Amino acid sequence: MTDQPAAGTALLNLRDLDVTYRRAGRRGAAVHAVRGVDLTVHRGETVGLVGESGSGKSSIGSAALGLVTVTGGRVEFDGADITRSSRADRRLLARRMQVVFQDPYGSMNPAHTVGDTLAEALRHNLGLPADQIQERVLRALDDVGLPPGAARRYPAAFSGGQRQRIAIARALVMEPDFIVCDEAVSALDLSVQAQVLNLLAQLKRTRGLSYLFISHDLSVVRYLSDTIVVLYAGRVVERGPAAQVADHPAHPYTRALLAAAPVPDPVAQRQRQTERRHALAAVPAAGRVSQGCAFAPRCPFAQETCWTTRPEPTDHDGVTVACHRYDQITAEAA
Amino acid sequence: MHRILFRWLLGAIPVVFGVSALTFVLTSLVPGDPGRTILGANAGPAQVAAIDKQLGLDQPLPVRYWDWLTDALHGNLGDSITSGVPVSDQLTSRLGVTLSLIGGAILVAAVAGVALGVLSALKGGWLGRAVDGIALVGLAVPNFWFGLVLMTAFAVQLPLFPATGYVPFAESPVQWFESLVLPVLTLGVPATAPVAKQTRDGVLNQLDREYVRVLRARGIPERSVLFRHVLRNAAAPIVTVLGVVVVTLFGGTVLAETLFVMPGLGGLAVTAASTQDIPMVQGVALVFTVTVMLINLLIEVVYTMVNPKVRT
Amino acid sequence: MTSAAVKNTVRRPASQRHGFAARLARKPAAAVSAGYLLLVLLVTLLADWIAPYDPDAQDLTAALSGPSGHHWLGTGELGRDVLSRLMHGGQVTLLGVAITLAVYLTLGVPAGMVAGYRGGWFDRLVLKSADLISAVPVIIVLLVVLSVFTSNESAAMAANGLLGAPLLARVVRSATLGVKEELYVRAAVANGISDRVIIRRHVLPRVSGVILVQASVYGAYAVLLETGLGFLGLGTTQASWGSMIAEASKNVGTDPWLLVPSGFMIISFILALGLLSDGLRDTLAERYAPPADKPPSRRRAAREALAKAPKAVIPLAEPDKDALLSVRGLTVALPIDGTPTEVIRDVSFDLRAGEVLGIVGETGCGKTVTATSLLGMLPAGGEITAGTIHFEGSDLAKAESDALRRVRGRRIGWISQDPISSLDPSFTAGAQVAEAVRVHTGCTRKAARQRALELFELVRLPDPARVAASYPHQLSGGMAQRVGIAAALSGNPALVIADEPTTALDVTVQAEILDLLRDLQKTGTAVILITHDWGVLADLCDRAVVMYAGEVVEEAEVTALVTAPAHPYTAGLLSSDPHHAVPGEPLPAVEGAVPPPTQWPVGCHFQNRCPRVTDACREKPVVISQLTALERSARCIRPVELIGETAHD
Repeated sequence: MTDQPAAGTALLNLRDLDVTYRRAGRRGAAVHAVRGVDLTVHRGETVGLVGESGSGKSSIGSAALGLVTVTGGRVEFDGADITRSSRADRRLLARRMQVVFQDPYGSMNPAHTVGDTLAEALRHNLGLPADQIQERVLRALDDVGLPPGAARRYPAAFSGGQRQRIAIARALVMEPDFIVCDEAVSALDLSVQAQVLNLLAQLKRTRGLSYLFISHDLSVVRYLSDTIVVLYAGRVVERGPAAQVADHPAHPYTRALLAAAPVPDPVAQRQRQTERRHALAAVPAAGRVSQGCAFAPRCPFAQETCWTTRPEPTDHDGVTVACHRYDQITAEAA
Repeated sequence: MHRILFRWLLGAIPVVFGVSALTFVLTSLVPGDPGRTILGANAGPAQVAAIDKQLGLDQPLPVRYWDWLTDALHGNLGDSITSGVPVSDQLTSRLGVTLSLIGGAILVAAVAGVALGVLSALKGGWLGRAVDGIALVGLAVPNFWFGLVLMTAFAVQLPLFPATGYVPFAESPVQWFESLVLPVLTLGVPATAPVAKQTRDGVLNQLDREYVRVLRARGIPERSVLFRHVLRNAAAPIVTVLGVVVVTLFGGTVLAETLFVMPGLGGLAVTAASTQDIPMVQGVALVFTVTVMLINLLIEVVYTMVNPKVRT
Repeated sequence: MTSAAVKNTVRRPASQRHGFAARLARKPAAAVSAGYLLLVLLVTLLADWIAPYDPDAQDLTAALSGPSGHHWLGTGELGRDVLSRLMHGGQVTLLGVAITLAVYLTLGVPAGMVAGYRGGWFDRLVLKSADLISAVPVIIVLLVVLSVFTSNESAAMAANGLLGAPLLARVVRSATLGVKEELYVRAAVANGISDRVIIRRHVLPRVSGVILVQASVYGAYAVLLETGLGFLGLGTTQASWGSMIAEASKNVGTDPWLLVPSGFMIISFILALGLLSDGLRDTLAERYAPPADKPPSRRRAAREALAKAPKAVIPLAEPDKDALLSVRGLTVALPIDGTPTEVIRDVSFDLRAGEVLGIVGETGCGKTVTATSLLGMLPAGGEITAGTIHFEGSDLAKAESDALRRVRGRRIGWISQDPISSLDPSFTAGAQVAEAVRVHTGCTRKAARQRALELFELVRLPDPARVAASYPHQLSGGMAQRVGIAAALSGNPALVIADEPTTALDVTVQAEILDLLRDLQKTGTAVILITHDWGVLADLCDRAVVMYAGEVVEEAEVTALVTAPAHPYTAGLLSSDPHHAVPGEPLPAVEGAVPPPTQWPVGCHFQNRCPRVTDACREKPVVISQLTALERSARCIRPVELIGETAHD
């Protein structure tokens, strides 16, 4: 993965995406999970989507897959508008866009064999004959490093890491070009995570895949992605080449994220402890609701404009940042 | 508290409306003529027509229903066709009997059920299996049959309690109690089964939870863990089950009162149904429904007190 | 591959294709019940041909006679044969139940599934009707129906089915909703698979168990109702089980035996129905938690191999008298598949006062078991089979439960992993901490409440009074964890065990909690931190113990551990951390998976994944050895540091 994003046509394109959940009933409170998000994944690119809980990252993945209703903006795939896609549209889309979920235990029906699960879409979406189904299933299992005998067994017989491989195989079996990885390695142990990350990287090369890689772990995202998009409270706060965003973050939230994530180096950590105390406001200004930037209450650089006017994502030589104080912050860091 | 009342009202009104309207519609299907029933087979058509008009029976159905409903809200439920006595008089005099019966049964079921359930959850082993077994059998035993067995054993073979009849509390508290023992046990003992099972399941479920483990790790004595924490959290589903049990008890009282010949609403319902005494049937249905709804309100209040998530 | 063999890889193997009926037959209670019910059904249906007497044939001379050669179950008050009446009576009851269930299922199941799957207005309608109907005593409605349609039992039973349908729909709706939210259904939806296929493949099988249970419960209820109506004389005039009880009630003084046949019939029938439905439910649920699909022979072979292995004599070193906590040779066994199996073995470490010790490892390494065993809080059936835990002058491994209870909270505190579920949902945060204070110090309620507020300030909760008055579900994860820490400190313990205290928290919140724990340590409290995150370890801990597959594989001061790991596992794990990784190059991952306790090999547990393995590693269990003069140890015959090479040579 070089420093420049891979050149190629836009595969997934989200424009001004808005996803709002409304609780049932007249008095249902509205939750704005995603607001005004622009995001593009080019062919051959891995875009890492980073955020903490409540950032809206999972909702973006679900919106792309058609699992939640999009309440504003557009979702385009390879030029076609798929914002309001029907089940029949999804049928066709599924041959190009697939998903790997986080939970290795819940993503497969425990009463079906692995082979049955892998064959499900081939049978009920593509309607392939039995011998072709066989072929694809076995090839997918081989690609993820599992023996053919695995098809006959039930998910309960496999470890978490192996089940995640099966989940990847299920995505591969449809021979897609694009996979949404929704926290695909977050539930795995470190050693297993490394295996699965290697697998994902290898599959990208051999099958020419593009990924939207959703995670809360900045270091994993940095390793795997070409471009990183940082999400806070449903909005994009920073976007840029992976190395740049992960090593030299511009937005105060990204900086706080980076400062807070501990690294396995005690000496470095001792230095970082003071850094991270500066990365977030000493006392979060409780009670005051920001009409402008959502991060203002916790931001150590916040000024009055930040509370009143929402910052728009602006391009600053290669990196897009939504921050009023960008110039001052970079000047201080220089 | 107001919210509960309001929500309950929102639920109670449709139920009362629904049941009374349904009763009204159904009973309007009864063949035959109430007017003729009152006057007898030999009365002439003109006289029958006059009585019908007097009773308002020549009006269309919705009007009749509305009239009945407005009258009912004023406490006038018409007169019994068979006895001529005002329906409301019969109902009020019998309500006390049924309430004593149901109140006693629910007490038995709650106390015995919770005690058994807690014991079997804590001791486990044979007691746990026994409670599961009792729950299974308890659901299988018809309460009227069980009542007969009790009657045979403790009223006929061993004359400890009266086999039939009811003595009002005002007359003699002791005899009132004695006359209630067998009927209350008849209803209460089978009802213990679902309460015990729910209690046992609920307590076991709580004991598996993380907070119980943490409380123990914190050094909180086991006694406190059980009685202050576990039971408190297991209470909500137990209260729900008690609500369901109450509704079934209202059904069961029909059988128990008939068996033990008690002058309650249940027995009245059966008589009214078998003699096709329409105003009585309508009146009984209404009173039953309203009483059940009031008890449901009580259960709702207790449930809310026990479950903070609903409160906040 | 031949086409037949090819076909077989994707279908279930023969051993797994046991039909539903076969699996049900293996449960004795359910099988016997099914048989009994079938017998009753058969006898009832054939009553016209096989009953010994006409059910209405009277014989006043033989009235109220007990069981005899002529009348196996005796006679009633009109001399009618009880057995024949029982056989014919069944027809009435079973017909009534059949009518009820037909209406109940036909209306309830589709309504429930559509409501659960589609949601929307139909769902709300179903829920509302269920709420309303559950408040109506069914028998009253039936009496109304019977008052109109006298003696028409079918009408009454149909009405019964109608009244039950919304309740069934509500239960089916919940089950359907549950399945709909499963990830594998979402995957199917994302794949464009039609609703009809999803319902057939995923929803119906899962929901069928629920439907069967509800149907049998309602069927039992219908039997009780039908016989009740018969007892009241409101049903049919034919012979019926209910009317037989009515007849018995009139003769309670003279012939109490009459109660037995009909009572037994009803009770046994419903009992059989209940047992069958339990069996059905369990058989169906099995598919969702199928037994581990390892052939039994392999497991037995592994156990036998373990039994034959030469048991290494583990030299029990002397506990360190200066340490606050000194653990030597700790071995714990838990029941796995019924057999007590060692899950941690020969765990030893020391903890000094005021120190922070990390226990780090992956899932299944035994770190949590180690922590819980310190407090004597192993899961049911678990026990410490060897080793000592020296703490403040006594051996906790051998302590009585009373002594342990005195230690918990007062000398050793505990912080759990999931902050919100660690708190009792029915009590406010303040009440729970105050309770702990009272238990440990015996002070008054008022003093305890005050102390709780002080502790909340200590853990830097903003607005302690408001938090004290809040319930756990009103708190954020970070706040709830601070409450947990406050509770752990309430007894002023010398040592606090923190079991993955930040795993469930966002990384920014995690940083704050780590800072808090560090400040607490500065006040002199020692901390044992269980974690799988090396960054957390590096941030907070002075020394660390690395665990793998139930054993301590390395112990060292953290900086030395991280910069120069001695054990190949530690080295492999550290290098696979993406923090150090170079994007574009494969992560140097440790291949393979952790062996579960039932499959621990003889010798080093890491042998099947170690790049430095030799035959000596496989021969016998490896003892932990001190490395040079440094205060560190490793369980390895060829530790990295000694030879001075990197983990991958």
